[in-house]
Amino acid sequence: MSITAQNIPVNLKRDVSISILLYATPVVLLFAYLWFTGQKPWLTVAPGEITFRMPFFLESIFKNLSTWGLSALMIVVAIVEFSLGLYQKRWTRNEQILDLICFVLPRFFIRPLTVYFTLKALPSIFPGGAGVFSWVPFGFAFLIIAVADDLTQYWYHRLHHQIPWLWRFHRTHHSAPYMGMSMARRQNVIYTMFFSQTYLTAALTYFGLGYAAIAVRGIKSLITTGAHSSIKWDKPFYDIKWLRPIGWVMERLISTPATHHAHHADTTDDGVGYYKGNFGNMFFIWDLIFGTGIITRKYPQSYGIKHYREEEWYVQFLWPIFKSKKEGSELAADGPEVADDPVAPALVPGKV
Amino acid sequence: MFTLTDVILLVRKILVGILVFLLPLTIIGGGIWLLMQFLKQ
Repeated sequence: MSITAQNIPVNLKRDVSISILLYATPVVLLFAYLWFTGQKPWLTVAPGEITFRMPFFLESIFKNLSTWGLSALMIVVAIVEFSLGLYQKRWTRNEQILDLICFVLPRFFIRPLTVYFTLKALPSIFPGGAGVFSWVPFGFAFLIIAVADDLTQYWYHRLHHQIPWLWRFHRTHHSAPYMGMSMARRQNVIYTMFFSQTYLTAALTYFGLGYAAIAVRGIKSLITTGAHSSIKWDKPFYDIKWLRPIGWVMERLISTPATHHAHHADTTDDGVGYYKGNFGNMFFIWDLIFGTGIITRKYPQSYGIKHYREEEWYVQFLWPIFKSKKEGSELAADGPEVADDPVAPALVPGKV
Repeated sequence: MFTLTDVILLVRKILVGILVFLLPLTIIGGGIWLLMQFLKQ
């Protein structure tokens, strides 16, 4: 039943080739659909025209999620988590400030940045490109955006773990010694500013796939937020017999607390934690395809990074603009790119 | 505080990001444009 972390190989060339196929698959399906039905929708649909509308309540939910809805939902869940004592005593003053800053500040410059990219940069690079793909049927547009956005984030995320000099830009997200709403948006500002998938989805929106992007973004935000929650909402799907078939499909298709918590574990030695993989954000299936995922249906005992020095909140948020004063820290001016984990005394030769 | 090494690191990081952005954009955008051209004929 479980997939373990033993001997998972990293084969970049193979994985890039598979990714090209994955990105192309929705386009090939669209081609086959138009070929067999003989349709030429670009002849009847004007650039920017929306030919399909979701039911009103769904459209409202997705639109609200992308404005204030998700933040409101996160605050409610955070209150529940906090009252259940799920942060315990690990949520120190330094962590509180960092989590709060990361929750509030990025939206004040990320949105203007993407709006500028969509409304100023793209029309200059692709004049006349606005809405040219509006004719793509909603179902295909949804599939294209879902694969494009989430597979791109998978790669962005994976590279920050597997390329040593990129690690420190992503470290802030992993330094939290707890899971929950408070740390779901905790990121270094440079990491957030240059999210490749944000600009990709903005570009595809400019080309006319924006309506489907609203739906994908709404669903994705719910899944990724749910995967970070310290409430183990997926547990019944493993424990209750009649829910298990749904759980089996769910844990392979999307990120769940079990698989994503494993990614945030502070060790891979217990057979449950796996910070060297489980990179998927909305879809977990990428990890299964590329062999970077493990499924154990268990939750790690502890989270974070073993060599965490509780670096200053402003350093974690703004590194490399500010450097840590903590000696030996990865974020210090003379710190290592990737620090060694401290060795437990029992594992040091000669000590028992 | 902010050194030349940091600037180089940032530039390299942004270049990786641009590559990760451009590859799917080319495949998807180019793919849809190509299928349009093909089916127009």
